[in-house]
Amino acid sequence: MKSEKLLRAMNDLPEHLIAEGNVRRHPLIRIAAVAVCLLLLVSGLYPYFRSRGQSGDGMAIGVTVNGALYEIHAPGSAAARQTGLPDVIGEEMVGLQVETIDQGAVCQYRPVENQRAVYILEQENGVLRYLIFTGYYIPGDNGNAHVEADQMFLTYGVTGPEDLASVSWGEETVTDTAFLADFFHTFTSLSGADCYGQLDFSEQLDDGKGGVAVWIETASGLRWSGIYSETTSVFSWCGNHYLLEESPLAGAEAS
Amino acid sequence: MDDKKIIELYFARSQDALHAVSEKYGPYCRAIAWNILGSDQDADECVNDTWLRSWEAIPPQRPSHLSVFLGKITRNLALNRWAAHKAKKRGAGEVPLALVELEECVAGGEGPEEALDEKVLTEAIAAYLRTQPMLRRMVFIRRYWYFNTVPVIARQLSMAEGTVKSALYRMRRELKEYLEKEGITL
Repeated sequence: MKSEKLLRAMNDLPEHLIAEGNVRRHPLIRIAAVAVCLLLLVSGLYPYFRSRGQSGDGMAIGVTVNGALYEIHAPGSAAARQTGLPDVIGEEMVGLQVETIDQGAVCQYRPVENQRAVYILEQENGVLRYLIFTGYYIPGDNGNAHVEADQMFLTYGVTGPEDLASVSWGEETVTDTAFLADFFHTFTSLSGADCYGQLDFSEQLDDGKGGVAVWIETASGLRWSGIYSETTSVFSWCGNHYLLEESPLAGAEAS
Repeated sequence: MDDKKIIELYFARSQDALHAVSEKYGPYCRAIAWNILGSDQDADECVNDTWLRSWEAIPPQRPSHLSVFLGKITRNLALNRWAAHKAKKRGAGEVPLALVELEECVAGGEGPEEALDEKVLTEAIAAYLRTQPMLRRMVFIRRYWYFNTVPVIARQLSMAEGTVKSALYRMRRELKEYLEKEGITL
């Protein structure tokens, strides 16, 4: 059997690799990783949730569409505005129906094609709502897995740096094309867990400081945010953690 | 007793060397053999053979990692024994499952297998593993070198079983791509 060759060949792997494989990890490492993840998320998302609360949105309803998680938001809500969506949903904005869920028909958001970050929900009573992407569902995972960065960009219809309009944090908004290209390629050139840090995430954390909210806007006007922690060089984006050792965001600080 | 002292006993041709490794590395080697063979009797015989082989090999060899040196002998002996059992259609252990998983790393089809230098393959696997972070390497080595089950790996590395499974799946896929890129087709 061909795979038996692999097993046999592994017998002579370098000794340090084999010895390393027999080392145990302290059980507290996992607990610490989860705790710091939560801290990062809470500290980074606090301004976002606070602003939504002030706009009177109330609790958003979460739904699943084609394996991805979304929230239902009314037009004009803080979340819809932050995503770059118009305050009014016109009939001309409703595209083809892609799925039916308990809350109504899920239709494409016609103003921005080739993306799945925003859909329009047509409820049975004819009321139109936005469905705004919040993350991918990874079954059975403990929260440390990740989705490839290029897939995350594709979710928003971004296939190259030319599809990005700006990156903002604090009072800073950068539209420079060289920066945007660097920003895009920093993520999409990542490969393997080295760069995402999903398994070694706990090892990247030092003092557990919170991060800064970074907003990304596409050329088509969609916006979303992630949390960047310079102390850990980790960018958290919809539940994914990307380790950016050569980060274009280095030095980013909240105002 | 530390490894240096044990090796000196080997070089002095003292039988105390075998008592010392049996005491220090018996459980370690037995676990490897048992994971592969799934039988107490076979595992014990394999471990006894390991001591004999080590006696023949040291000297002239002077292992830098005695545990790994002994583990390699055990693993090799156990895989040979497993292959012999397979030919007689008996046997247990984790090897059949590991083989099924590793089928994802080889090209499809049942054509004639090309003669491939095992050393080249070993070096390629090692090179791939060096590109991986330590925790991932540990998961891979534990599964395919020590033949630990996924629940055992998860417990020993304080990870969720789902995380272990997804790491292994991703690594098998990446290893296949890496081997293909290196022009190695199994």
